[in-house]
Amino acid sequence: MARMSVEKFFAYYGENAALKNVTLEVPDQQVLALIGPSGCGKTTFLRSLNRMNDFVKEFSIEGLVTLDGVDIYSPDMHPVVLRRRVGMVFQKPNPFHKSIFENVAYGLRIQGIRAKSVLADNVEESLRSAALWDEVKDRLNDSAFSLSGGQQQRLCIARALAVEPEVLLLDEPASALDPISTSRIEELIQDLKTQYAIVIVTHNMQQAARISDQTAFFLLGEMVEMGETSRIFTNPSDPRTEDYITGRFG
Amino acid sequence: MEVDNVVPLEGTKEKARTGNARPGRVSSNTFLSRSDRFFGWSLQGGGVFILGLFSIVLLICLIESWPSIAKFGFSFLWTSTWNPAHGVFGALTYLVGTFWVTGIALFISIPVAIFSALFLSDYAPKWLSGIVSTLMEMLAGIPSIVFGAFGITFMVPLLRDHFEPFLANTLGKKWDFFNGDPMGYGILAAGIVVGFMIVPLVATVTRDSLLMVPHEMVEASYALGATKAETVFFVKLKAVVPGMVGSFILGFGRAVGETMAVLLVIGNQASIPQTIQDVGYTISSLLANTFTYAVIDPLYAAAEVELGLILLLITLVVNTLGRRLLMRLMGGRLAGSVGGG
Amino acid sequence: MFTNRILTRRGNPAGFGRLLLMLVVALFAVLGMSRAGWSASNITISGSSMLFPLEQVWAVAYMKSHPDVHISVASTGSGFGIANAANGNITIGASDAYLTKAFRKRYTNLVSVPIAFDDAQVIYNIPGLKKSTVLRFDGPTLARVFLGDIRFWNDKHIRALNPHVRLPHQKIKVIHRADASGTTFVFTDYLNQTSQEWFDKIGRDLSPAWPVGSGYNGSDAVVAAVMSTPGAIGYVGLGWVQEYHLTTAALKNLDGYFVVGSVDSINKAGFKALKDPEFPDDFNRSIVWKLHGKDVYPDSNFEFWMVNTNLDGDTMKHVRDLMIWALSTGQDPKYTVSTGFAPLPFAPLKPRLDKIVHRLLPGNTYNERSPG
Ligand SMILES: Nc1ncnc2c1ncn2[C@@H]1O[C@H](COP(=O)(O)OP(=O)(O)O)[C@@H](O)[C@H]1O
Ligand SMILES: [Mg+2]
Repeated sequence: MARMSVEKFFAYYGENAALKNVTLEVPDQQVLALIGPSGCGKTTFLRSLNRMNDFVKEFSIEGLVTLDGVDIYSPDMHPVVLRRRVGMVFQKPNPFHKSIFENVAYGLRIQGIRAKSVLADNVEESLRSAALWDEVKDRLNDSAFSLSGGQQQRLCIARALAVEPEVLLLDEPASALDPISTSRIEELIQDLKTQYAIVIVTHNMQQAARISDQTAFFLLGEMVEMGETSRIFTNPSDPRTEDYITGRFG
Repeated sequence: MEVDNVVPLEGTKEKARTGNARPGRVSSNTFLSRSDRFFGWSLQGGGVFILGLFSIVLLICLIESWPSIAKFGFSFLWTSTWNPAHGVFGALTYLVGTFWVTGIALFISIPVAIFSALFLSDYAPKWLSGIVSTLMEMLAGIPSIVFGAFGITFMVPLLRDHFEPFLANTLGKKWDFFNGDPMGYGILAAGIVVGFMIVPLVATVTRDSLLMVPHEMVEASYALGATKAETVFFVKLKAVVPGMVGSFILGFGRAVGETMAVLLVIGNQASIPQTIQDVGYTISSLLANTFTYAVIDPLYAAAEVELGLILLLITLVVNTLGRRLLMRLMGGRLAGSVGGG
Repeated sequence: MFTNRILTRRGNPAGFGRLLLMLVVALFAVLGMSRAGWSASNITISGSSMLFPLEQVWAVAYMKSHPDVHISVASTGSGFGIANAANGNITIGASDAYLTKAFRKRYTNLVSVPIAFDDAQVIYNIPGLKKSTVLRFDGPTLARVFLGDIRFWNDKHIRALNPHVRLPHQKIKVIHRADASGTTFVFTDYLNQTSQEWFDKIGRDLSPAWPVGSGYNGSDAVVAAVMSTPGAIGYVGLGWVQEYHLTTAALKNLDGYFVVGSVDSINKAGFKALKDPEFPDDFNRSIVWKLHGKDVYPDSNFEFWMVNTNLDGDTMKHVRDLMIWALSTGQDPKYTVSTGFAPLPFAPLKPRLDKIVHRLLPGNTYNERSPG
């Protein structure tokens, strides 16, 4: 079953088309990896799924994006509600100027949850899911900026998980991290896919191969092909895909 | 680039990021290191100059005020008789007046300044925010005497005929402190005028801090399903707390020492205000009014210089405490904060 | 014409300019330019802000007729004028007050010269009262008002002095000067001489410890505050009364007459004072309340120049010439009245002025010009 589906999607920055006629489905309880050279529109695509591009001036779209069958760009879906259901983790760790606890609790607080015990339970659960609990449980009131880069990124994941989204978007979440942190996050993604539909952008072919179930290859704003990860990496149907994954360009 | 790549092993406590993780770059280029050293020296020179200037000012104040310090000791601080004719001097009245004016000014200006900073950084359309920002910077440059004149011609009548009677008839019914005799001139007028003067200062610094909040942090909030108001109030404002506290300290310094505008509207009367409608006296307005006369009598002059010294020390203490507070707010580190200092 | 007065007095409504000037002068003092630096024909006058406008018009006129002399005038406050004339930083210190006994002891080398005549007048703003209604006050009642003991306009003491005036039950708002001021000195001198209570509690000073009321920097601010505050009472000098056409109270004088301050009534007071043999030659004493006569305004006093007896001979001769000019030609109404002072006929006082001049420059007298 597909959680989200995209049909004949075009995205423009002013006059420039960043995405051209993209059609794909985001499967539930699986990891979808988006690969492709820099500037091919992966981030643009990801941010179109939770309408983060609304904040970009001159940005416009054509086509259809649905979440459980509802057009997310229609008045039937308020962006605020959409973003609670479609969470996002960014390339660079971006914690708030708050304590570790409050960073995770933020999404709940703005939903009006005040009860201390509820907040505490949710924060603990989210931090455990993000495999950060043991490292921070004794210093929940410290500033989030006292954490290392890898810990900060896992905190951002915990923060996104706390609001219990249905889809989780990850934009090169490990690109700025060391190998140990990276592997932790990869494990994490494996654990999480049992509950969420996950879309991850990555530049790392091995990573894509390791963690994803489906892979979509983007090139110059177009989606060249999408399929089972094992097939894409062993037997791509488009020569451009093969060139890319074998490192002949990009 | 991320600075830190260290993830501790399970169960071990991570040490705070420390500088020694990154060894200092040793330059083989002697010219570079020499110019580095020269730069270091000139910075040190600047520091020493500031320190020296401060010590000299402090020393001169101490010497000049010594007759008064020796004669009255600490009782200078908590006695309120100020009678040059009898050679009796006590600072309490002026300390209390300074306290009220500064307090009222901050009470009024801080919320106004924060709201105008938010408006300028997040709500106003660009063209409007440009105009308002320019106006605000101009406002910050207006001589204080102009604010004083504004106080006399506009605030005083407004307070006397409308606001002070209103306070007396509302809050005054419950608390005697608001049930004074409407006069227009007084600590309220002085506090409001000084408050207006420091709004541009606090607002400009806060706005600049807000504009420097990383876009990523803002996006993180939206991505969690926050509205604009939630993002602005709970994320952006929180991120600029150090900048704001810094601007409050600047505002405090300006308010506590403000002379001309206060002098014109406070009603320069050496008595401790019993109500918010009362007249009062601040240290700086007393000095401006009488210092040229006080030089006629060494003890009188010494007492006035001692008042100036106290003003200096108050500013020093508030600055230090403010810095401490900043450190506490940031959990001992200023990393990643915006506009700190 | 008051244009000049407006420019000068209003242009410096508060202490900042004065403070700046003081700093500049102090800097000169520190640099050791005090004595050696001045050429003999350079006269610096600094001090009283009240005398400042008069000194300015004098300086312009005097330099026109005496091109060899340069006079610079600064308004720095009486205290500064006295202190710096005494230590030689300036040539002439201008003061609103004479040297009281304590200051004569501290500044033994100063000679005070009466140079102009001014007064303090009581102004008020009583709702419901016609603008032209002249209230009557005696010293003790006025003192009680300024001590805060009389709090309403229809107090029985005020009513007793003004039986024909309908006074409202309105709170009295006392308004006084905040900066050190000659007008304050003259005003408190009157209270001091007429009220034992005032004498005991407050005394007379350029900047006394006011028990009640609110203070304003400069006479213009006092006028503004009185005019804008219902129930206010305050005091200003003759010049301000004339400029703003203010109605002022009639004050009770020594012989029991109620007299309103005017050029005429304070001129009479000055004349009486100058002729009274009881006064010391240097006028280092209050004349307030000491004067008899039907038309004599009781609350008036001299303004002074303080001259250091240690000035070098050349400078002293120039000072003497300037002084004599100021006391004769300089008393013309075009200088004095236009800047808020009463012109005084100093010539009849020749013997006394002779003595002063002699103290400053032995052998010289009031109208004899020394050669060179
Ligand atoms: N905010 C923006 N304004 C204008 N053009 C943009 C913006 N963001 C991205 N683009 C352009 O859109 C194209 C796709 O960018 P992006 O989605 O960031 O690619 P990727 O994430 O695959 O590297 C690029 O050509 C880029 O220059
Ligand atoms: Mg990208």
